[in-house]
Amino acid sequence: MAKIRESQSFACIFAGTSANPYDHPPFLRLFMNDDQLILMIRQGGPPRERANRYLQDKYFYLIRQVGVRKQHLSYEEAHMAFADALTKLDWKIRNNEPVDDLGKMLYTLVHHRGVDIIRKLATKEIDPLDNPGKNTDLPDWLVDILQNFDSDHILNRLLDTDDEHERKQRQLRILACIFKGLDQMPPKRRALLVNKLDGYDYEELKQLHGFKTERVAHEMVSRGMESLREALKALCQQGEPVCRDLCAWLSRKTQF
Amino acid sequence: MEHPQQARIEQYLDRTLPPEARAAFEAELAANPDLAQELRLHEITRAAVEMQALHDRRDQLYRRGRQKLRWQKIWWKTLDFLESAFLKKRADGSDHIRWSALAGVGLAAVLLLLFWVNPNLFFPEPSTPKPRAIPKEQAAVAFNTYFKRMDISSTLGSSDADTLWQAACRQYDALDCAQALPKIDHLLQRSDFDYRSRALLMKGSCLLEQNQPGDAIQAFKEVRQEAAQLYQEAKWYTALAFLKQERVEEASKILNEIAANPRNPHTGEAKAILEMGGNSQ
Repeated sequence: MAKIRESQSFACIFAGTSANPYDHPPFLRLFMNDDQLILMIRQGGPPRERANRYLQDKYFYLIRQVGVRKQHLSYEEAHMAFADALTKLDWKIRNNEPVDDLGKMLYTLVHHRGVDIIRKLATKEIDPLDNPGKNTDLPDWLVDILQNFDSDHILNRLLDTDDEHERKQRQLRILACIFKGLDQMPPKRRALLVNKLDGYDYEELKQLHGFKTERVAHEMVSRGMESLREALKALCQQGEPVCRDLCAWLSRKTQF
Repeated sequence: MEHPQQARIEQYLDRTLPPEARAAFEAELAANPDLAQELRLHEITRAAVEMQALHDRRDQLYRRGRQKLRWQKIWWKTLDFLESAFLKKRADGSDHIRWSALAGVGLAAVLLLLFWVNPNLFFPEPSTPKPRAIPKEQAAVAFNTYFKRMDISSTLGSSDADTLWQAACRQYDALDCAQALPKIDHLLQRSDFDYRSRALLMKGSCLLEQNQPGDAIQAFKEVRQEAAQLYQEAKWYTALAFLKQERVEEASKILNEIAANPRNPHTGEAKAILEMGGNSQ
């Protein structure tokens, strides 16, 4: 954190007023360092979008260098690995995981995703799921991120089994159930909730979604969360097969 | 408006409840399974939005990257091609430059550049023959050799009602220019006279014969261009008139034009006169 504060003050000297690198003039934004980028991603909202775009442009060459030349993937496959790696990097930073060097970290993540893709291409392995039709379309990178949640995360806490295979199956079913609930929401409302989670404040949400006041934006977020809860409840009441683990966990009458 | 209970749950999850209120809430959770169930629902809803946000973020990055990749790939594939053409992998995995291929392409590039700068370097244009000229001392010889009165015998005897014109032609054909010229002049003054170009040619020929090349040139100049064949004849006699005057530059210029024009009936003669001067300018 001391490093970040240092870079903030350094940037402030050049930028004149703001501690936020996103507010710097364009010529300074061309040369953002890792600390500034991390700060922007943690800040969320538009600065985070900008930092991600910057990282994507700066390290785009990894597609060719790692994916195509080292791992002999096609450009499309390597690009997929790169997009997954960027998402994962963003997630790591948002979850305050220590990242010393963004370039090295991204290189490693692209390499790992590339290896996963090669393995998948070589074995064409498909995990036999209880209900394959419902959840095989979940992307690998999302499942991968799920594996890396810490034990305190809600999606890990509800997996009360030690069997690794069973854990994975349950994770996939829970994810599929969650996305089923999300799919039932109107896309605009879903986007509003996502923007809120991405770090947009109510003022920004007001502008982004065209609400009259910040209070309305706040109200719409609350209603959105409520409708998602209702959608998940409804799935449980309908006895949706992929939701059985989640619903069992939700309806436990035990102490918290 | 958010329900107070739900607002408390949200605050608890946000860790914004004061310590006392938090302890009280946890005590309530322990005693109230329904509240615990509601809390779990809130938690999983948050996790759901988190998953959706991850999904959307990745989708956004992927779509943006795909657009970028479309153009970047062209450049990268070009580089791949260049590397495959100019770099050779050694057994130990290191690359080595194919200098021969590089030199070949470099040479081709230099040649192309030279060709672009000056195409005549490789494909020189065929040199156009320089116009030839007759030496002044040959002018009189050339005139005497090649001057012949214009032959009009083929036009005589036509059923032309103009008796003055017929008389002039007959006298011209009988080499009697002294008699023919006044008639021709008289005819040329008539606005309804149809054989103006031919008459001018006859007049010019007679004047040349009478050693009046200046007047002859004037007559030949009046021959209309529309009368194509007569106009070509007029050019030829103009050149001869210039030779008569020993104005070889003007004569050479017209003779060169006649020599380059295969449709002119005097092409061969013009070439022959020009060759009298050899290749000298």
